[in-house]
Formats: sequence, C-alpha cells, structure tokens
Amino acid sequence: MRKPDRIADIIVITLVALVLFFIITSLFFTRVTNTSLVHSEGYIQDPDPDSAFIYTLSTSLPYHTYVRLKDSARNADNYIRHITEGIAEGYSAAGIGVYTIRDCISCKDRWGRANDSGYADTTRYLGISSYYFKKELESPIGTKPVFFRKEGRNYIKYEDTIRIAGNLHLRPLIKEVPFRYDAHGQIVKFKVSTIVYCISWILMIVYAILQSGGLLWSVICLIRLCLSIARGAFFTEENKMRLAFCAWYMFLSALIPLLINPPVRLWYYHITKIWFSINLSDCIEPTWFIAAIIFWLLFRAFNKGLQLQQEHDLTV
Amino acid sequence: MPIVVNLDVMLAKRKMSLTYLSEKIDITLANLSILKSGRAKAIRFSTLEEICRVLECQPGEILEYMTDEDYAKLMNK
Repeated sequence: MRKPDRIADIIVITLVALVLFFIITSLFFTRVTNTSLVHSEGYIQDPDPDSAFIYTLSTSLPYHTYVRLKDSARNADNYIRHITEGIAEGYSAAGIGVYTIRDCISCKDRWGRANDSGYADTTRYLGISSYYFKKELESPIGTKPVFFRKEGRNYIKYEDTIRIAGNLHLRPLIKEVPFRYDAHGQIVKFKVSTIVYCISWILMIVYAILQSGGLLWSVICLIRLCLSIARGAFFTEENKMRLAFCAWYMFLSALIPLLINPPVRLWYYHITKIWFSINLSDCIEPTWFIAAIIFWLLFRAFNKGLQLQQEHDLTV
Repeated sequence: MPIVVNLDVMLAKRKMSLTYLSEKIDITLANLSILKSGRAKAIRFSTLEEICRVLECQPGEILEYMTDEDYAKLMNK
C-alpha cells in the first residue's frame, strides 16, 4: 500500500470513529430529565401547613394531635414521593420515538435521610413531537387538539370541523386520550402495549441504522473524494460513483420521511385515536433536496469530465 | 462505432511493421496499437497526415464507414 493511501485510510477511520461517536451520543439517544414529571398516581401537591411540624412528630402527644400530625405526615410522605426526578430514556428517529420512564426518588425523605433508590417503571410509551400539535394549534381551521386536565390527569381531545350549509362548525370529539408530556423534550407520550413498543423500536432502529450507515458512508466517500482530488486524480470512475452515492443518499434522506410520515401518522392514529392532519410541507426537507441537487450536478459534471478525459486519452 | 480503421490492412500491403510506423511518425507504439485495434475515440488530422505520408495512401484507405449490421458481423467474426 502506498503511503498516501495509508494516511488517507487512517484519516478516514479516525473520522468514521468520531462521526459514529457523535451519532451514538447525540442523534438517536434521548435522555430527557424532567423534574416536574407527573407521577402516575397524581400531581405534585403543596403540603398543608401542618407539614411544618412534621419533624416534631411524637407518640407522646395527645391522640387527636397525633392523628392530625400523622395525616400531615402521610401528606408530606406523598409530597416527597411525588417530588421525583423522572428520567425518560429512549430513542427517536424518523418521527418514531420510543421511551421508558425511570422514576428516581432522589430527594431526602422526611427524616432527612438521603433516599436515592430508583425503581423502573415498565410502562412503554410512544413519543410524538409536540411540533405536530403546535402546528395544528396554529392552523386557522381544521381539527384542533384541546388539552385539559381531569381527575388529576392530562387529557387531549380533538374538535373536528364539519361543513354545514357552507359554514364550518365545530363538532365536539369524541375521544379523550390520556398522555404524559415532557416539557424539556417537548414530547407527548402515549402509553402503548409492549408489542407496539417493540415494533416501533425495531422500525426505528432499522431506519436509524440505514440512515446513520448512509451518512457514515457519505462522509467516507467525501473524504476519499477530497484525498483523490488532492492527489490530482479528478475525473475517475471512483470519484463519479462517490458523488452519485452522496446524491442518492441525500435524495432518499429527503424522500423517505416524505413517504413514511403519512403511514406512521395513520399508525399513530390507530394507536392513540388522535388524528394528525397530514401536512406534506412538514415532511419535506428542503436542505436535503438542495444538497442532493448540488451533488447530482457535481456528479453530472464529473461524468462529463470523465467522458472528455477518456476521449482525450483515446485520441491518437 | 461503425468507423473501422484498416491500418493493419495497409501495413500488410506495404509490408511494414507497427513498430517501424511508430518510429517514422513519432507516435508511441501503445497509441498506435489503440488505433489499430479500433479502441481509439478520435484521430488528429496531423496523425492521419503522417500515416498517409508514410504509407503513401489516402485517408479513405485507412478509415472506412460501415453500417451497424455490417460492423456487428465484423466484430462477431
């Protein structure tokens, strides 16, 4: 192996490792820490004024005071229990997000002892970016999601519009779906069964591997193209194919979300019974399309250059 | 490409070798081989002029146009 080739390979491998690290750490793994996560049993409630005497609880007190303080202690206990640090761990790609919640009691208990014990909540969630909800709230007509709280839980319902005698009228809907919201991650999470969770997880992983694999190979192609040009080999079959790969990767990266978003939203509708209006402008990634066009033009230029060079080489 | 180079025919008629021709017209043997084998995409007028001068022939004796069918038959032989 020639020396420049060896150096090029070392540079490529180093860059691949860096890109891989970047992807693994930041692109697909989402760890949302949310201190105001709602516990499944209720909401954070302020303790009653008696909680101030919690540390003076003593069995030598008169019975009625003891009972009262014991109730306060129970309230405070609940209060402490509810001040939990919820850590949502999950992955998301291509509009599919899968999450599990791990609630950790990380605050001190009422006796001042540190209680860092955590317990795993095995409930599975499908996550949907709140971007879609915001888009629909901004829309002047059409279905609008309505968020409300009932019996200490978050609910979402939709009001649909119907046309009566040429005028749009609101038709109250129908399905009220409980959800959890991560303000930090801006993700609305719906409880799903383990099977749905596993299917989502597999779909998301397959897409993530394909996309990250394509991204990695595009980076490698671009590095090799730069090194090849630096060595003076401009119009070669390899360089042409590298540019073709980059163009196809970027085109498919723009096209695939456009194709899979409608079925994914239909699938979400099937699971959550919440209808997301399909707005294709949400799915189109103009940056990827423009990049694909630029790489396609470069590919055509290199293709023509290669033809001219071959003609020149075979001119006697 | 249905343009056939009859350089080998002319060389045989003149009883000349490709190496001798290459030395006379100052073109590398490799390039002349490309021309003789029909892999060449183009030929310069200056090269054609030199070949015609050394082989004492007309350009039409070196280059010949064939229809696609005739060319395919020739290639299959």
